[in-house]
Amino acid sequence: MNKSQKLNSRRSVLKGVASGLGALAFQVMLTKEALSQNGTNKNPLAPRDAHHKAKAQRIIFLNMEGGPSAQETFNPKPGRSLFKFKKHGENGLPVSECLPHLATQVDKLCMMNGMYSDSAEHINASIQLHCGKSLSSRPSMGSWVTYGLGSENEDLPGFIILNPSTVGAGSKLFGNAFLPGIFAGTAIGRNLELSDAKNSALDKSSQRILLDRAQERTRKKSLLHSHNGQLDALINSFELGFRMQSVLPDLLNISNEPKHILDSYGVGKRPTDDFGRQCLAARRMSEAGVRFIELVHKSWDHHSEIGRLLPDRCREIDQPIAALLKDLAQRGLLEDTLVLWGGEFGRTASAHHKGGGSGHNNKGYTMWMAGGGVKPGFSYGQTDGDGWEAIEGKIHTHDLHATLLHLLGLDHTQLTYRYSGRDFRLTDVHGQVVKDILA
Amino acid sequence: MIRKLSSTLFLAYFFALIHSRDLVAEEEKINLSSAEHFEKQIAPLIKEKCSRCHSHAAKKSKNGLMLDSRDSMLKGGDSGPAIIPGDPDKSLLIQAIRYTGELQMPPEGKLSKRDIKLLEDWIQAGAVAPASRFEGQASSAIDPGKLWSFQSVKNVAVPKIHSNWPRTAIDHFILKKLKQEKLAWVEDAKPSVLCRRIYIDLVGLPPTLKQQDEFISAYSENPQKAIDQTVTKLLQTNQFGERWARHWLDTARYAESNGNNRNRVLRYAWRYRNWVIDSLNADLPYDQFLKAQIAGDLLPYQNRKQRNRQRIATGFLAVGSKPYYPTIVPFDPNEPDRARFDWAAEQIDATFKGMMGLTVGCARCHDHKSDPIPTKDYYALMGIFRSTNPKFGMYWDLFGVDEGQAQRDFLFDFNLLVLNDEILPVIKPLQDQYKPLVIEQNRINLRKRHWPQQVERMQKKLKDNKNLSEQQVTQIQAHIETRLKKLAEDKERLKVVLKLKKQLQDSFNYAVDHAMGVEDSPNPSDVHIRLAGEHAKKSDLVKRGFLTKIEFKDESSLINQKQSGRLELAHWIAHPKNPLTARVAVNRIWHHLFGRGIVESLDNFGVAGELPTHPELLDHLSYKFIHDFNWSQKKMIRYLMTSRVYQLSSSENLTTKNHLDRDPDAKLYWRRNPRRLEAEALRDSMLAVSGLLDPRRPVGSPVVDFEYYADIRHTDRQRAFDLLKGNYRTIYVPTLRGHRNKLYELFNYPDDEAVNSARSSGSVPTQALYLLNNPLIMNFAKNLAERLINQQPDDPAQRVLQLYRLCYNRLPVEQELKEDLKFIEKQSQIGNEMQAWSLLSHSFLISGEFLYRF
Repeated sequence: MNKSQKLNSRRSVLKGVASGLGALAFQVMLTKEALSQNGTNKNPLAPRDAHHKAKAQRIIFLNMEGGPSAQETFNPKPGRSLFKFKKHGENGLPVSECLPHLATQVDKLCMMNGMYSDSAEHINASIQLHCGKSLSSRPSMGSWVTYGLGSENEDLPGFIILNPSTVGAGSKLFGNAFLPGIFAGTAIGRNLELSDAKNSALDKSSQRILLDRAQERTRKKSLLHSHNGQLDALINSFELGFRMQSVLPDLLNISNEPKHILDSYGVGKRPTDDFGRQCLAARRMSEAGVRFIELVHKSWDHHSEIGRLLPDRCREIDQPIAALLKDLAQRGLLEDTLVLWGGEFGRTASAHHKGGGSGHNNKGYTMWMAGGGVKPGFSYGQTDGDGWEAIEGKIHTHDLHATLLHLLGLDHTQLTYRYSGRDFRLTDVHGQVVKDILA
Repeated sequence: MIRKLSSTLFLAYFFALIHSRDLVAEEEKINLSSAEHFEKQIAPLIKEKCSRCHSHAAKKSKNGLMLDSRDSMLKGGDSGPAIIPGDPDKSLLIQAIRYTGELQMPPEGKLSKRDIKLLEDWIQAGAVAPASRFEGQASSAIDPGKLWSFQSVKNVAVPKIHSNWPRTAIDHFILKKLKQEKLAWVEDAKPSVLCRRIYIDLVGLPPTLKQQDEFISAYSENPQKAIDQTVTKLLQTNQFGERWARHWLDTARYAESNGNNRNRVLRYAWRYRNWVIDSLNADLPYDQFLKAQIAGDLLPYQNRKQRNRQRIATGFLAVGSKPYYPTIVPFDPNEPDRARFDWAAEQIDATFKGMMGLTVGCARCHDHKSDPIPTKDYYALMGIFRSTNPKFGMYWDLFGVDEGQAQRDFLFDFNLLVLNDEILPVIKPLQDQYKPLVIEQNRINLRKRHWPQQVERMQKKLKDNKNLSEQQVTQIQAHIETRLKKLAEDKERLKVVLKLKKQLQDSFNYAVDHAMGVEDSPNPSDVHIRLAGEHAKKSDLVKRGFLTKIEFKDESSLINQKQSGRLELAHWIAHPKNPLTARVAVNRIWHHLFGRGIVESLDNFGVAGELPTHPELLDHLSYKFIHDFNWSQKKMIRYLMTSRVYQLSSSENLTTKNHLDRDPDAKLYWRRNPRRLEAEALRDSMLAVSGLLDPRRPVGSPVVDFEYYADIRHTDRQRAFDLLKGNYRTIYVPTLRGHRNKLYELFNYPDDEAVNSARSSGSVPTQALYLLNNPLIMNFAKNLAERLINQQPDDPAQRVLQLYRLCYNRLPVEQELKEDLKFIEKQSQIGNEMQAWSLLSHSFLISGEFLYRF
């Protein structure tokens, strides 16, 4: 085979993996890059070069679902906040009394106090936070990132989400939409178990025997269809699945971690056990090279009971997240891991509600980042005196996405996918990289 | 209607009051130098006020000035540059619109202060705009005369080629192209391969052993006749409709829950699904098939049965995913109307993508960027659909009503079509008495929930009494008093309400047959253009009508002003002279049989879509579909399947360097490509070979038993599956938006929030895990093994032969048989015989030869 033949057949293989609209759907940069880098590469998840030098190799997104209050966590409003704040760290960033552990890590955080987005309704807002645009089927940011960069580990999916919501937008939040299925988020329940990774009736060796029997026949059949490539892709998907079912559960099995690590995350203790396990699993996945990790922590939708509920939620995440940041830093992982914290929106100050509750607020709220390429111990943007509206350093969700992609070495205007006759991007036609927060 | 709306508004405000959401919507601070700002604010303004005389679109440049790109503004006209970015005062454009000097524009009148300020600020911020044309390249710039798909379908002469290869005219078109490209075609597929291909393609099930034998023996006598007979026979089975309905349901973005921001079950979507299956089986001509779905409620009918069938068909317009309003806080009284626009937009999108392969949705905010679809046309359609009431099982506008309460009260009018509407005169008065009681009960409950706290707070305030004036104290006391009084009254009233409800319920003894669908609204009317798609920005009123760039003049398409206009639209879309409808339809049939459309972008025949690989063939088929086959889909399917090109082999043993250089993916059909079984065919085939398939149609849908007011949860996908109780064909497994059955989720079920006629078929590791480990698949393997053992109790070799025949439609070669027997022997020693056979069966179900058709 000459080179062009090889390319042609390779192209078919890749299309086989992702075909649908066939050639049309799977052209674009993915094929080009995979081909130019490595003509024999069959794996669509193979790592790909970024557009420019990356500051971060992966993202851990700590999704506080329901909309945590900025005024009660990181952006105090005198006369409006219910809880007390103290300044912490070298730069004196304020942290609520509800988050004593995180207060010790504040020098690692880059606070974004001027976040805003388009919707004050949970599902619309969650979809926008994940997919850029509300109420339409678009790929999740994790899918875009894996599409753009591939996976660092050939035995693992590039995009894993722990404990996704069981109501609301459902799998849309981690779906690949029109991107090839290989870029869909792999959902793992709160018990940290991968579905269908265990077979109650077959042990590992029987499984292998079964698989070998099937693969052998498929391989024979594939000899007559090698240019088309679909059968080769099928064989590969089985091998990857087989490896994944051992590797991923091992990775998620935190019981082998030393006691001091387990203790530091608050594993085995109420109320930190649940999220502690997830944070620890996230660290292990970062080490293993998973590109995009999302952890979901629920129930931040505190209306009239914010005074009672917010401290409870904080207690569940405070120690685990602090431990995660420390642990990542100690292992040198924080340098190229970007941690993102926040929810789909924030809340109005309690005083805004006559009934003494705290409503949804998409006009001004706080998220923070840490690690890979952002200014540590830095505070950017501000809301007005009530925390009602962002007034300076405003960052729209589109800008956040543009910045995340930028830190990963991707230009948000170049990361496109042609579908249904036009090019799509995570940021649609919007988005500005927030240069002021880059280290 | 009016009463409903006003009560709605009252409720909405009431709700808003109770929650005291005194949030005030304020305008966002806008980035004046963003492209978005330009697109949303500046471009529409310039277009509205200036383009008539200064644009390419209007083909006018008065005084040499064009105002439809940044470059042309910088260049300016006879008097010099029109704008100086950063300096509004020095910009001629601003001087002109301020009406202060000699130059006063626009001539018909000064712009509003707001508009002038908009332009000033925009120039001040740098006058950010696309350098080249931003306006005018749309509708009018694109010559509809040049877009291939807008040309009328031609009766193309069949290419004359001297060859004995072609079996049908189709083959002549294919051969012509292959010869042009100097591509040799491959041999026909082996009969066993062809047999499986035909069965999977037509009915989504593998042939039984008997069917295989029949085909092979007929094929040995006369291949072409065998194919024709088999196809004809299969087209008569119910399985055909159950297979092909699914293709249309993909196009129709069918699902059994709403998705979106209120994911409620669509309890009666199944009637529409069954209608699609039945229509395909009855070979309802495609033009009628479409007309019924757009305007079944307005079409003439001969009997009640037909009338109801047609009404159910309009479910097409109702099963889409709809946003629930209000979505913003505080409640905006414009929302109900905006919601109606959004629902109408969803129907327009589905209708035009689904039936004509056009993405008209783009024109909601601006003239279509690439296709000849002006915004005006869009709002002409909007008028039609805005005059249509979707009946989809909810009163989305009854905000604040406890839906759970309403649901338990079966007397509630569910905003659905009532098929047995002869009972309406009886039940309607009951419902009319009933509904206010539900609402009243709900209000009482809301007060009960919120007022005691409020009273408590007020009492505390009085007790603390920090600098309250006497007047304030009196006021608060009065508040407390009224509220306590009302709460006491409520207590009594609630008893009465419940009693009245009970009485009505007891007197209600009627079975209501519900369905989803649409009906005309009582007052059909035209709508205004909304600038940049923003609901509040009204522009010209547009008469209801169709796409103006597609014209075929032989009958008046005047819309009956007393109706919505759907009837006329239906006739227009399904008109034999409509250049798109037939092409889109036959192209999809081609796709489902060949794995790729002649136009690869099935739902986009516009400028941004793909060009046809065989334009003449597409016209030949479309013409035949309309004129020779009278829109019969079955005839078209038979015509395609009896062509020689359908029968070609997919194996690559005859592939040459020339093939790989010129057409490596065989887009010109010199061979076929293997195709993976779709989710439904995959499970149905597994059910069939393991002997578990229940070929009957289940009654209704399991989601009828769901609480309609509850949001779908993840566990519901399993619940729906379990409630189905039986191994029915997969088309009957409910699909819940956002929480689809795992099989669907993994095996490339399409996005069901919009029209998506093509499915992808990529292989991913999570599919592999499902196939390897999921108990359902394990169970199929076990049943298959039992079937083998029961049918061939004494002869392992016979079992292996049967396994090959059932799963692969062929016999093993000697080597294969030997290996498999050795495998059984070894595994029987390790475990037991049953386990060994289960393992072997499982290995067949997850192998390429089973998962694909060749």
